Amino acid sequence: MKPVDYVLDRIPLLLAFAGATMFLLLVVHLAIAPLNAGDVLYLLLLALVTTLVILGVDYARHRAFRRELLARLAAPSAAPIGNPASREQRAVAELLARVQARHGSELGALREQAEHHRTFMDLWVHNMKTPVAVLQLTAQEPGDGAWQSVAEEAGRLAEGLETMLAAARLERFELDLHPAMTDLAALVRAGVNELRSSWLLADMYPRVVIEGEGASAETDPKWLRVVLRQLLGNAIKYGGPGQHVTISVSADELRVSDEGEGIPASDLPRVFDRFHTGRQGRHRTASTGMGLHLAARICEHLGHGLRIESIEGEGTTVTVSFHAAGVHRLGDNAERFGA
Amino acid sequence: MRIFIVEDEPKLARLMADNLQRYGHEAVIAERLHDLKQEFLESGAGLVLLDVNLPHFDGFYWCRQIRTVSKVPIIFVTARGADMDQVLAVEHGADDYIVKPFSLDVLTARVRAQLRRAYGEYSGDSADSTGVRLDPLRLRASWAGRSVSLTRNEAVLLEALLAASGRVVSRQRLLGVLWDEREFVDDNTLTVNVTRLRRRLDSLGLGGAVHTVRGEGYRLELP
Repeated sequence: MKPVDYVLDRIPLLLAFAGATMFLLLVVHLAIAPLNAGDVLYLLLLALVTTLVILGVDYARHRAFRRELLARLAAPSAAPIGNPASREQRAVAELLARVQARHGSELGALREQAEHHRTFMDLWVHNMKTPVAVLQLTAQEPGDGAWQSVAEEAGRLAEGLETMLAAARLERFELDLHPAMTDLAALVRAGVNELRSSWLLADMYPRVVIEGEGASAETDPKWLRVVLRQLLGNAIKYGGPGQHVTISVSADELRVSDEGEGIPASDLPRVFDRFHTGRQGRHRTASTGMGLHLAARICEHLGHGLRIESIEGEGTTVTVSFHAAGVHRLGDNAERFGA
Repeated sequence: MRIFIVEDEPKLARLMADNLQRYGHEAVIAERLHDLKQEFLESGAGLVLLDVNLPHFDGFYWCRQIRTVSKVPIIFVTARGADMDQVLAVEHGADDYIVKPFSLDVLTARVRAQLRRAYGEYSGDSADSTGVRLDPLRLRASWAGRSVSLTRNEAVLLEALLAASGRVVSRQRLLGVLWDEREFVDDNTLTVNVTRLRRRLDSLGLGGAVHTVRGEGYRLELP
């Protein structure tokens, strides 16, 4: 705090002191003994010097606290403010400390609660996987008919559980990140196989194109698999019987192209928004608007780019680029989740 | 060949056992999850399906335990697909792994692949009342004294058709058994393989046994 600010804060006090001095001089002049100009000047000078000394001492006394206060203001921190010189400053310091303590414990409780919630979700989803697996296996027994719809619904449940698991894990992404040179062909095949029953039920065919055998990229295989699963899930959901979904991988990117109904141009800019279901989604109960949002968030964390191109009635292509670093980003609205 | 199934979810274990039995294997479900090594020895099984998530000790532990006394193929069954890969499975002493939720066709195929790898010649074959014999492990079919070797695809197609005993088998079901985990198949693959199977059956004297049911699938009609 500059001395100027200090003085400005004390203007009412100084004015009062000046008024009192003038009044005192007037009273002495009129009622006790007439004062000449020299006396008045001398007394005023005396009052001024006294005031300056008092102000100086007071300023020095309060300076340490003020300095800390301002430092804390510039860079808020949790440390208590020391060196209070007056009762008021002590009260302010005390208040801050108390607010801090209270928020601290509240925050701790919330964090603990969130952690419990995540652990619970994780456990719960894993526990739910077994009943879903039993359902899916039972529905595979020869018999068709009604079992087919059981299989479809079980597939939907499985997909929902995966999304939930991914969403819960995304909140502590940093702790759950294990980047490694990843064999992309193996990852894509595993991802396609995981959805085996969905492909069969939808009567759709995956086509895997590996550009350069042994193509690998620096990524987190687990998270990339989650992204792939979301993209494949969408391609199957919005595709039709007999259609192919092409998954092409190279060391630079992973591309999922479908021959589905496509996304209207008006919906494209918002497909990565959370809970956005678009025109197509609103006609389908299975849409949560979480899939692409999750994929985008994960890619953002991984430092990969994610972009989507779609022509209504012809199909959609979603591309994950491993070395995004701004290359494709210029002027591409859908690319705003790129690294 | 007897298969030892370690799975703490009883329904899942039952489904796996039923399915393996349907394909001519003998299945034993583990009951003493705290004493699997002994139970395995008593079962005399030739292959183990081992759940990773178990009470008491996990599947990795039991895999090491079984490995101290036996070299039989062990296949991990795990719910945490992302945390498992071939390398990790092998490191823990297993030969292969299956991720939950899996399909029964995949289960059968993996079990067969391991049995074929470990025991080669030794196998049991399934016979149909009509006299067509199929050895799904050695990939041979025989009828009326004649025998022919098949590709894996032809064998699984024939098996599915035989299992339906004359009923129509949907294209979807056949695509399911043809499902290949590396080279993904489509409708065209199915058509091609059915044509090939017809040719093989023709050489057994069963020409015209596979009927196309338009819009539905295929049906095997044996004389």
